[in-house]
Amino acid sequence: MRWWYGAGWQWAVQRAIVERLQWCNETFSITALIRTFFSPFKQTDNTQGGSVDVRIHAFLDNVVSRFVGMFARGFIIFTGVVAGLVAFISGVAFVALWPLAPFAIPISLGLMVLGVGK
Amino acid sequence: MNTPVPVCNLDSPRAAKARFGVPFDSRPIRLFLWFVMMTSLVGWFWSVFLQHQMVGHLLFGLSGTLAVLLFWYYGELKELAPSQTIDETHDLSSVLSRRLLARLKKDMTPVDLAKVVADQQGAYFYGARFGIGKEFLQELSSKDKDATIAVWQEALVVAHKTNSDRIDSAVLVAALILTIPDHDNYLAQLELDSSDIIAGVGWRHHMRMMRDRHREKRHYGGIGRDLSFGWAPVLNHVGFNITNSIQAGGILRRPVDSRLSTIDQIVHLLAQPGRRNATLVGESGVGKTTLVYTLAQKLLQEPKTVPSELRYQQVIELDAGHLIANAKGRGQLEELLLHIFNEAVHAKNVIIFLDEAQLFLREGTGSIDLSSILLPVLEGGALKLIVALDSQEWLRLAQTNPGLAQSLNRVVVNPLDFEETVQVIEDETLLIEGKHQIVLMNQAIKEAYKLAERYIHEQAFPGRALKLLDAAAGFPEQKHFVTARSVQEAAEKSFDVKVQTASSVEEKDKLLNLENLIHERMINQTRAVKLVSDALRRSRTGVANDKKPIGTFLFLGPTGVGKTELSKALADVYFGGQDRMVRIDLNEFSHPDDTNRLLATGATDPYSLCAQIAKQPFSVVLLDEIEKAHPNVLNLLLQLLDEGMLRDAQNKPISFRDSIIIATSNAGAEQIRAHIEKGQQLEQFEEALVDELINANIFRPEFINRFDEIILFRPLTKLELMQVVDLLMAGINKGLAGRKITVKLTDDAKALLVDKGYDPRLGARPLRRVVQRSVENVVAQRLLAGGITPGQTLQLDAPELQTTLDDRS
Repeated sequence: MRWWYGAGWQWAVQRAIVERLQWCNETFSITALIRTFFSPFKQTDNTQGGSVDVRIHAFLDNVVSRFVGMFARGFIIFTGVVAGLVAFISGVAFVALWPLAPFAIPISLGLMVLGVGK
Repeated sequence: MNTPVPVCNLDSPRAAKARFGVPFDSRPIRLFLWFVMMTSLVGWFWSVFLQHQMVGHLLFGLSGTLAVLLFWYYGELKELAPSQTIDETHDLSSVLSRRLLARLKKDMTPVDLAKVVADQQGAYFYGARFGIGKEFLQELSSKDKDATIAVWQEALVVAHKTNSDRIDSAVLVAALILTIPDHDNYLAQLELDSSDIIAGVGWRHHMRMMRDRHREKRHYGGIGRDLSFGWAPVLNHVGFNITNSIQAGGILRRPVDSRLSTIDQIVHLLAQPGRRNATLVGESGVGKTTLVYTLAQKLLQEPKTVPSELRYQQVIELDAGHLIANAKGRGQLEELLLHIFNEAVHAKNVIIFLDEAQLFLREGTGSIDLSSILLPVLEGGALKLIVALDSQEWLRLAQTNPGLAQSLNRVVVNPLDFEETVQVIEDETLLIEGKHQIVLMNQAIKEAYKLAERYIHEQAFPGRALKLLDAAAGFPEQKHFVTARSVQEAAEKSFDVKVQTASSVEEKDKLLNLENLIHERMINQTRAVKLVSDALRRSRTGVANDKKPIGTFLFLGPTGVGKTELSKALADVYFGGQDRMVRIDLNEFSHPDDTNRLLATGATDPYSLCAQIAKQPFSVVLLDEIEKAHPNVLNLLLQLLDEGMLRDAQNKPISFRDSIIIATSNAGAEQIRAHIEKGQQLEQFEEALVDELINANIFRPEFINRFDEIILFRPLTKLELMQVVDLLMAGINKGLAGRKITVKLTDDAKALLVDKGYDPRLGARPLRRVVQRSVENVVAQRLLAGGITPGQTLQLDAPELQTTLDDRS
């Protein structure tokens, strides 16, 4: 009992909330994607110098690449945030129910004795 | 550390928890409980939905109770962390591993403890890696329950020394071994000592850690990790992505202490502004490639310990041969490389690794000189580059292209010492074992280090030991165990030497009767034969200094008394044939430059001293007429006599440590004869004669001192020449054995031959010529005339031989 309401509860918080949120952050690379949100997407060349035409072409390439990048990253960040929210809500519910678990039998017996749901 | 009197409170809460957790260790039980819990949970929802709420209350109670049990097991009981540290505990129940604690009973003896650990991982580990099986432990452990305290005390000491946070089965097995009375002797029989047993705990823990980490997630950084980096399709096509191979489950390595600072240095160089390159310079086998793999692993798995610009960087190795194969001509090759470098720079997450970079810096077959392309790229500082070069190549580069050498940041990689080499091999164990389907024993690792140190000179540690261990995998003993003996066998086969101490009955007999076997081939010179035989016995029993040749002897005496014959006999009897004798006539080395001829490599002169010994180290080296060699040649030989090593023309070390070195000289022959004629024994004038030779400047004292023994050969008497006749006749009969003809001499015939062949100055040589002129001629004539038929014995007498000799004169 001492473990369940002491280190055990902390363990439950760690496993059900903290680690699952960390997993979402790492799996969807949310921090890294936010940091590089406006970076170009999967560039293969980054021409520098040259004629005005080439420069304009490179600039436009860059702008398009950044937009594609923002969209791709935005989608992954959104998915990650949703996954994180689901993880957080279910984790909080799990942690909230944690203290009740040892009393599952007394509670069920009590409910039966009281005839709840008959 | 405190030295508490250890007690083990089996009534403690931790001990009770340990016992309670035992049923849950069973995977089927846990799966069953999960199944019941989940089914109850689903049933609870279902019953609520269907308004069968009484059933639902029951299912709720059941699922809740099972959840408590399962989460308690995963959260606490499974690992059951120690409740105290090793150094502060006085109650062992607070630091014992759960699996041990659960099985302990009161008043256990060391034998009972040995039985408890017998089926645990630690015991299996010591059985497989050290050859210390559970039977060994149970047989030798004490049956006295009072001795158990000593075992626990030792376990605490072992745990402290190995930085273990608990006493697990490996620690307990080590403690049981180390508390066996007279354990040092038992361990010595297994070629082990106490430190090996303690180190075994660290090895076991490391293997467990590697196994656990191998099971961990394999994708680092997440699915969006590389989204902000560029594409490098050509680079990915022609290069080998080390980072990906690690991510795919490559073997995990722990950097040894001396490499930690090197890795930090590389990280610093790659992260700094300016020339972002690191050039690893070290001998072949020192672990440069492994270092790059360790770095790639660190960038991937420990991102928080490296600067942000290096996190999750991909290390991609370029192979010169592959690049050449992907380009048609030189122009295309340069274009390809520029394209690759450009991709790497713009991708922003690539570190290029050029292993064996000399292949990129020198024109030749399978190599290309790209230094003109590399230099501006390095100066630009945009490309992150790691280059591996061996020390010789670095010196060559510094000489031929100082500009490029200056733009490379040199990081020296030194060879590892014994402890670190063993640690690296332990890391490689799973890889080697998986590749060859074998089990490596600790003794094999130690032996590999020892023998590699002795026989592999072209590489550095740890590579040289790993190379030998790889070869030893081909010689496993029973049940695929690679033992010290397997390593010895591999060394013997690879280097054509004898490294195993004399073990077979046949070889022991041969060594014990070496004098008799040699005397079957030569007469008298008893002292010389004994000294040489002693040297061989010392070497083959492992008593001799293995940093020197097996033996070094200077044979002094007149010609024809058996100096060369003894060398031949030795090569024949013990080294496996006369082709095992490398004979160098030093009268042909009388010029100062002749040292070069001794040191020539096999490519330029396959019959030079170095070339022959490189090919066949287990030999008798006969240096004939040493007094006629030039002083430069003698100076060179000083090192050979002293350390058993020479460096050939290419500076490659050549080991003479498996050879017997015999130098012969006729110097002092007249003095020996004079002393013998006065009736003196060799021992009586030996020292005086050597002094005389030194005073006469024939030999320098430092040269004479380098020999293990200086052996005087005495002139042969007529009586001894009679026995030489028998030996010569045995040789003739051996040649005729194919025709089934035997030749015999009467005593008169023998006496005649000795009389005609005796010359005190020339020893047995004239006798050999007389036998040739008389006996062999008679036999040849009879054979041609058809006077002898197979199966016949031809007896020759004195008059017949006399006639033949007279005819020739």
